[in-house]
Amino acid sequence: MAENYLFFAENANNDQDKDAIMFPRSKFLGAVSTAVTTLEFFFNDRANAAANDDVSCTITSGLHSTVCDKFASLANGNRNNTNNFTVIKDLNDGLPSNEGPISATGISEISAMTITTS
Amino acid sequence: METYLYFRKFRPATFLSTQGSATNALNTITVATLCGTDDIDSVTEIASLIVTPADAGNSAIGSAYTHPGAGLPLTLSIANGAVKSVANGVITLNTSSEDSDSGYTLEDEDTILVTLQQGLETSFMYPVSSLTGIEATATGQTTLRFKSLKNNGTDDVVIIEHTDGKYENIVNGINAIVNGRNHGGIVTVIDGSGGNTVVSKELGGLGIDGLKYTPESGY
Repeated sequence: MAENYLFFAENANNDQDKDAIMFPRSKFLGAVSTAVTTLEFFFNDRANAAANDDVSCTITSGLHSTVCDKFASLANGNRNNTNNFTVIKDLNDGLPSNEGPISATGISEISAMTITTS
Repeated sequence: METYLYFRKFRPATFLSTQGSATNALNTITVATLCGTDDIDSVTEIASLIVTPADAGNSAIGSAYTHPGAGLPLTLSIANGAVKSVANGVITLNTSSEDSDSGYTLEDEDTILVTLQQGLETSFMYPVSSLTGIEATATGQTTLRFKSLKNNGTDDVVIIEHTDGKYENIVNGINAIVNGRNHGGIVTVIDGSGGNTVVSKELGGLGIDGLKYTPESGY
């Protein structure tokens, strides 16, 4: 079975540390609400350091279940012989003109994010 | 396909506290009957606080407020400091001397309507691959352990309270969720929000009335 890869990108440019990140689905550990408009996704640390990596997302108020549902659907969306690059959310709006985010798809309830890696 | 297990704590939609004395600590949002054994400990779970004063004579209110008159509602500003602390299901407000603009010194027979919302660790989701074990930890209590989100050294723990003697039914139900053909995406295992308990059909009839979440560390 091909692995599905989950892509996150903050707004502005994807040209600096923690602007964007991609994890294989198998590294996903879980998600937890941290406030009425925030949901934090955790992944095994890429560098095998002590603390795991996380992406804290600003979401539409109270829609944690909806976002979790959509995340699960996207994460499970892989199929053999297809492109398994899966955009969870791409907020990059700093590309040159005539270019845009990798995909406008993704979870519409996510409006901002902070990527934290160890 | 991976199955994802979604949980949401037991919480009432609202809670009405009628002050029996002039104290700024509201009545306890009882953990056993209203919160499914997991206390409210974070201000992030409070959506709004509406005070209805018993009389019009209280001048010990923050400068940001205008007294609404006896029996009329006044919404307190959580963002600006109305809440002093939240611990063990007890919300304590700042008095007007502790927070001069958004504090409110309560009087006997004032009522406070608390509306709750999703907040810190109110809901959580784990992939089945993070589940490391299910153990009977007490009579009527089963504990699920997951790989920790933060990787700080200990497991994340989810305790389910249920009818005595139903441990095997709980593990059978979890097994059915994980290996059943009905799922393959997200499964709401337990959702106790809004005063209504919703459990996955595989766990139905087991008297589930509590859910306690203990991740290895706060956020």
